[in-house]
Amino acid sequence: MTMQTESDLQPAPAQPAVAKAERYLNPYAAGAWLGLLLFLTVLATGHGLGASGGLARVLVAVEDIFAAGRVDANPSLAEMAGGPQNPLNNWVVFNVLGALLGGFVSGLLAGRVKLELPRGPHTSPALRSTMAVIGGTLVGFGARMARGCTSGQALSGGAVLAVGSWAFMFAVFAGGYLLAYPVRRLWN
Amino acid sequence: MNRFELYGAALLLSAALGLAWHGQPSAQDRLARQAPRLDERLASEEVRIDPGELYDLMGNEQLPLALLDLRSEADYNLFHLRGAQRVELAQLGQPWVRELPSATVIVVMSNDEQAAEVGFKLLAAQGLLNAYLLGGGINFWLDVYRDGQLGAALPARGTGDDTLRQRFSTALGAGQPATHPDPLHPLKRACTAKVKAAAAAKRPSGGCG
Amino acid sequence: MAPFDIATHWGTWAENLSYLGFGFAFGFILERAGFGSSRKLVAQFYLRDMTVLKVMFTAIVVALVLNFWASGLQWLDFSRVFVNPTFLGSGILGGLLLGMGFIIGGFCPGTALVGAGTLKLDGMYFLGGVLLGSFIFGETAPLYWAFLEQSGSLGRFTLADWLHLEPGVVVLLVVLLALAMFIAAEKLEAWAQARAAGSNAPGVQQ
Repeated sequence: MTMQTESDLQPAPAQPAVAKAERYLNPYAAGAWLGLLLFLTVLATGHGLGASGGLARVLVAVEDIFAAGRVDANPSLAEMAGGPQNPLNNWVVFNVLGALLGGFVSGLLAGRVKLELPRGPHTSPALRSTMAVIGGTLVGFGARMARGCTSGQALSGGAVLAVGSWAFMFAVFAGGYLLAYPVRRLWN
Repeated sequence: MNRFELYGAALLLSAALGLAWHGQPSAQDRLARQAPRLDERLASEEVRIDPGELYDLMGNEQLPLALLDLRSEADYNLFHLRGAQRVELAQLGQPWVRELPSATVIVVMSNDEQAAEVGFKLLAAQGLLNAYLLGGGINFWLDVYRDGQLGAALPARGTGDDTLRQRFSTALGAGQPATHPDPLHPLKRACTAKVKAAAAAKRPSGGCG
Repeated sequence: MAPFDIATHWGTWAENLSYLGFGFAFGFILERAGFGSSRKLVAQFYLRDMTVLKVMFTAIVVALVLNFWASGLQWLDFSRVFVNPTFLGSGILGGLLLGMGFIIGGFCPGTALVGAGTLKLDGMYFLGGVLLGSFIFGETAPLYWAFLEQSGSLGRFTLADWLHLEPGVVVLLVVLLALAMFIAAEKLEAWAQARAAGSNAPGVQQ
């Protein structure tokens, strides 16, 4: 099984050939490239990748403009933006920017850049949009609590054998599988 | 699974088997590899702290301080700084040193500095960034704080042969005078502060004044 | 010896720029793997498409082998490598919440960036949600600060430390675990897809 195709995911009428937009890289190959990237970042800087941290910093940067006093008084915010610290002057913010660009360019090359709202066959756009926001909120909250997300904790922490990161990763899979059956109508 | 995936899995497995066999560098391996850089740090005097600074650090309750005394049991029993734990040089290469929280300031000491320099290198080679050694050793500490030579200059590196110069009538360990700063009457001594892990908490006056 | 500590030697902006590049590669690879698609990501939890598991665990084991080989050859000083501090309480609870948010919303933060980057509206809405969740956390965190900081706080603690095994042995065990999971994943995918094809009629409950 070298190619994963979108058509495997839905009961659709047979398609004549695998459309260009649905040719994905072999997952093991993608994983190997990602592992190599993680290694290179560790060699260069001593730490790995991140995503949720960058988003948190963008948020606190805005908060710092309007309510700097509150930011300074709150330990969970002050650690990023307390006092004269510029929360945006941090590698993880640039990792986020780079990821947006990299995702875009790869999508462009593959013909997958398209303004659309992917959703399950029985899900209205309104429901999908609402669930995206709700899910995002849970993820954003959980990532802050866990001090990272799948990039910063599971991948980067996992690749240095950090116990907390491995525990986090198993908890993520557990959380997903726990709710899979209850929310199946969203996706199937 | 296709052929490439199979080859990849085989490669991965061999690499992992090889890794388990090859192992990780021991403390001695690391010491050997990093010796030139560490010798430079020792020569630059940036990790050699004055007894006045140690006096100050000992009085600072907010600063987690680990005092590692590398001398013989006999010397340790005659006199040691309050709070100092006796460790063998070889033990500094063991994993337990990693249990020391990274914020701790570690000061190794011997009678002069010979053993302390080796101890410093062992700790630094394992990545402990807050390791320092007591300049002049216990001998000089006693000159300053027991014999009252508060203005004496720090002896040059390499002075002495790491034997305890002072004579004590009884082995009182940390029960001797001059084993710790006196919070009520701190003694001042001019020196340059070198420790970077500065806890900016309230410190008693004295030390590097 | 690595790590070369870009930030210390060439300043934070040199590190920032480097991460623009690393991030680009990161987003590029994730998109190549198909992670801009929420439906593909979520299929992991319905066993139809185990790409998430395959990509994540391959990445981790490849990085592990490379990291620890480099450390073994003293090309990389592992004591200077950042090991995420272990906070079992907040880590596990946060992970559960993130997993639940993942299946409800269809993304994680990294993949949502790729979704948004390819103009998927659900990715963009999701990112909005992430900011909201981060905001709620910030506002409420002082209330449970003790839990966050102290519950199961074990500091720099690796699986090798925990199991009292050499890192190389632990890496080998992880590789064996990953290979076993990949074999199981292939079988699960085949089973789930055959099952889906078997009841392949519109409106049939799955």
